[in-house]
Amino acid sequence: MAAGARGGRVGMALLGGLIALLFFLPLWWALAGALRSEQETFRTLSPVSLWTLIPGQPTLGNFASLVHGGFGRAMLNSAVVTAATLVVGLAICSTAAFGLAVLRFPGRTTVFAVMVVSFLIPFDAIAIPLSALFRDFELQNTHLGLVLPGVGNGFAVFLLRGFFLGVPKELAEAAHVDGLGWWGIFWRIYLPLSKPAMVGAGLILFVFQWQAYLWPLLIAPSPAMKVAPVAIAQLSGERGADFGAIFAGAVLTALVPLLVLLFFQRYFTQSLSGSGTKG
Amino acid sequence: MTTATPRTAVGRRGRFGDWPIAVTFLGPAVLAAVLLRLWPAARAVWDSLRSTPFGLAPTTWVGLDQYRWLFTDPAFLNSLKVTALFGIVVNPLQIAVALALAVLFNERIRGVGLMRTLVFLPVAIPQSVSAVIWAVAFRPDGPLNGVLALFGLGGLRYLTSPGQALASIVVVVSWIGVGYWMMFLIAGLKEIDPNLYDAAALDGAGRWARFRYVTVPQLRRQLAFVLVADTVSNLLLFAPVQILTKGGPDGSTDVLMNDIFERAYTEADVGAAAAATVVLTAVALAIVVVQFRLLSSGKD
Amino acid sequence: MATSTADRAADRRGRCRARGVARRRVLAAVVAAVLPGGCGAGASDGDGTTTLTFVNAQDQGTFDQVIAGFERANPGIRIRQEVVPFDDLNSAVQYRLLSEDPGVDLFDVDAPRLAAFAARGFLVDLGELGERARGRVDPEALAGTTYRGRQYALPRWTSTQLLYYNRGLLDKAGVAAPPGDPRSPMTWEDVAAAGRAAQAAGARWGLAFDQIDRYYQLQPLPESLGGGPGLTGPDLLTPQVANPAWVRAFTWYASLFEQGVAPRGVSPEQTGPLFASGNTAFFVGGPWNADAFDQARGLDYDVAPFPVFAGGRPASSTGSWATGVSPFSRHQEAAKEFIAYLALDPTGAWEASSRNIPVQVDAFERYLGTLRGQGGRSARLAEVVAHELASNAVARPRTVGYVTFETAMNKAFADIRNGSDPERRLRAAEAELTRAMAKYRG
Repeated sequence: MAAGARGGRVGMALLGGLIALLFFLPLWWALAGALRSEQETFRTLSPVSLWTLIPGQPTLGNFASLVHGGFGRAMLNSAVVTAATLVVGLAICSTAAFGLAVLRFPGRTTVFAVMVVSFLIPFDAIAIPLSALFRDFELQNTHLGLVLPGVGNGFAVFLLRGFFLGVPKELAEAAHVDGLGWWGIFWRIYLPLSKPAMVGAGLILFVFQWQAYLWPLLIAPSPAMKVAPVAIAQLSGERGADFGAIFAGAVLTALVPLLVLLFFQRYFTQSLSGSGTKG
Repeated sequence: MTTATPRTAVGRRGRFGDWPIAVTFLGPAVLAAVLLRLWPAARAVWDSLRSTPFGLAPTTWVGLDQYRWLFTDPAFLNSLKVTALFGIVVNPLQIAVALALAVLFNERIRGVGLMRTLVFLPVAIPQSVSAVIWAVAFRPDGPLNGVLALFGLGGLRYLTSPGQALASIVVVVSWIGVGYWMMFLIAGLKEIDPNLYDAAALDGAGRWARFRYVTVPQLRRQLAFVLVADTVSNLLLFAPVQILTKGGPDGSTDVLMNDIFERAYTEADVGAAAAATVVLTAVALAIVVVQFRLLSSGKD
Repeated sequence: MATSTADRAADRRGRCRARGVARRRVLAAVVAAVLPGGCGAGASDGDGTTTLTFVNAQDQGTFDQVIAGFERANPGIRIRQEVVPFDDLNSAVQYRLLSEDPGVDLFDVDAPRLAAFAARGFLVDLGELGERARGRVDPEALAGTTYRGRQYALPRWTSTQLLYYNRGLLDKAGVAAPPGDPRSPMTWEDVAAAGRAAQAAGARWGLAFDQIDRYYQLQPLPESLGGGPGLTGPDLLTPQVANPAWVRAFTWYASLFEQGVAPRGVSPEQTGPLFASGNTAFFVGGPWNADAFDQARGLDYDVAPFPVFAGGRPASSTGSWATGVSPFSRHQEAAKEFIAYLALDPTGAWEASSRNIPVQVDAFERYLGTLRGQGGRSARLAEVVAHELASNAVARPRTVGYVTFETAMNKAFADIRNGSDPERRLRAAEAELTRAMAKYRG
């Protein structure tokens, strides 16, 4: 019985490893492309061999030309804007979700409907009138102008509300009896229980902002305010693309979330039941 | 509900319930939603009733003729059809795969954290780069066909064939999206009380029965989120299509949002783009309302 | 007018400063180091210098020389560039001008799109600058940047197309190299046959197009057969893309891909590397491709004139970028100064040419002279360029409907490459365009 379980675990580890590898393969190829000349990347494309995936003559030239082109600045802008969106967005979305899940007030359904409709509207399709408004308020070429559209995320509110609804009401009531106000209940009881959900909401906010392209293009055209996806798109011009630099840019943009995610892994292994509040 | 509320809370809740405190909790989010989403969307409704002959001001009132014109445009009708087909294929596929991967990567396996991260990573790189990578992979003389050739198989045509292009797009967006949705489901799995599994195992439930009768019901909330959010995201998706196929070949990948993007950004046909946006939002709303109905009726 | 502008500028600076404080407070926790960027755009600086914003989509460094030269000659004016990704230039500029953004002073416009920009009131009539340009700038290029008789931008560069071939691959196949004489181009039919022969002898591809699927490069095919540019009638708003010449040209084009002489599923960005990696026999592209090919290791190539259909007349692509002034700019006179320098001044035009073909007459002679001075392949390239531009160039149609036309045609070309029946697809495009162009006829 125990041996069988162990065998099953080894099988699952193999399967998991294989799947992870398959997902990672295209990125590995991009990594290889970042570490060699464009000519070599395309020459080794066909027929497929090990050299398709391994740089024969490794070089850091692509990274050098990327950095020379001011990519560091763009990465920094992306990081700042995304970090600010995470902090402000989590605050706004988690309080709103708490309000919708726990508080009782007239118009609650309407407010919930507003939050739902807000994530049904294609942002890229309404970005044009919005960017004109932002320009009137002198938010062009500012970090604030880049951050704002990302902070009130209906998906994040929706996710957190669902989680908060699952927190046993008795906890809040007990705290109330102990004299805790709503802010106290939110801060001391709901938030500490919600780390996995907060990580999930953080993912939503992160991906929205880290991937943002059209909005920064419209609202932050100044070279000093360029974000990483726009800087990478610029490497593909009218007369061809610098594939090596594009792949190097992809590697760098993937690196930040990779590190952040590996760090936050431990919050995923933490569970409600583990903290002894359920069951 | 009120019966369960302790006296202290009831005492504080007057006719307006928690209204004053609710304003402080919800104010910023509602403000953001109204100013940054609903207001420009209302603008789009207004714009959709006006015509801008190639972006020239002043505009003229055309009213519902804009919509009539749109619904007789074969390109727009085609994009509705493609969007429906795309949604029917991509949503169940992504959710099923994400759920399977979540269950697998929830096991206590050595290195599972790294595995999850690798599956998640595609969503973290700019979509333009994902598109470049797959544009090369899908080349008829590219690595995917190269691998098929190693096994003695003939090549596929991928993005160059009206019959295979949409399926290829499904592969790309699933490569990007599956790991992302998986993360939410893993978070949900972590919340399930392990005692439930032990109890089920004592009752002699097998692996499948435990999945069916413990995991799925316990995961209901996260699954509901993923269902709604994934459906909406796929409805609004266009970057990979725009970069890889521009809606071709023969319009076979021209999803609605790509059609809107082209009208708005390439042609600067503000009125028609706004009308198409209104249609898309209405479609999304209808789908989500149906989903909410199904989810709440399933609860009882 | 002058005072109100100055007031507005001062007011703007004040607001900028106030906003800077507020913003700093908001983001101080996140970062202190990375700030401003926004203030000062399009505004006069305190010391009397004027800063102009020039929006374009060129590769990094393209304008470094000309900007340095201009700032040396005009100490009171500074030029700040905003570089937009190529694919998004037109839409980005369009929407900033729609909202009357004063942050754009100068911007690049692709010659065939000028009509639409001018009709929307997005370009300042350059008036007297147009007069001054006469005799100093190639008349064809100058005519290409007018709309209804007014000069709305000044052209900077032009472009042309030529045939590159891989000498080693042709030798191996026993195929004679194309004649280098600009007056005796190969026929398209012969290029395809030679490409097939090279493939039989080991080449991966017989022929590749640089700007694949793009109207810019494919327009010469039907033009060579007398099929016209695809638009006729008053204001060039009536599509005509399914006449016999168009059908013949694109039936031949489709056969290239059907027979595997040319590759399917390769985007325009990936075509250069096809030839550079040394396994493609022929490549049609612009003079700019030579830079990358010179750097490619082990590539032995040469150049020949752009091909022609058997029995047809020579025709090759042309046209390029021009620079114009935004009507919402607060520094239109200074902006015109910069345009005069980069388009009319012999030194400025040369500095602005980068790797492109300048249209300013002195700079153009210098461009050819430099290539000729390098001898060999470069000299042959110079002869082809000079001849194509003088005798064979066919400009893209100048009409307010150009964007709609180009978008629809590029899709049709992509579909034909992927196997759609050429005649049926061209007819469909014609029907689609008849419908879409109606809004411009209004």
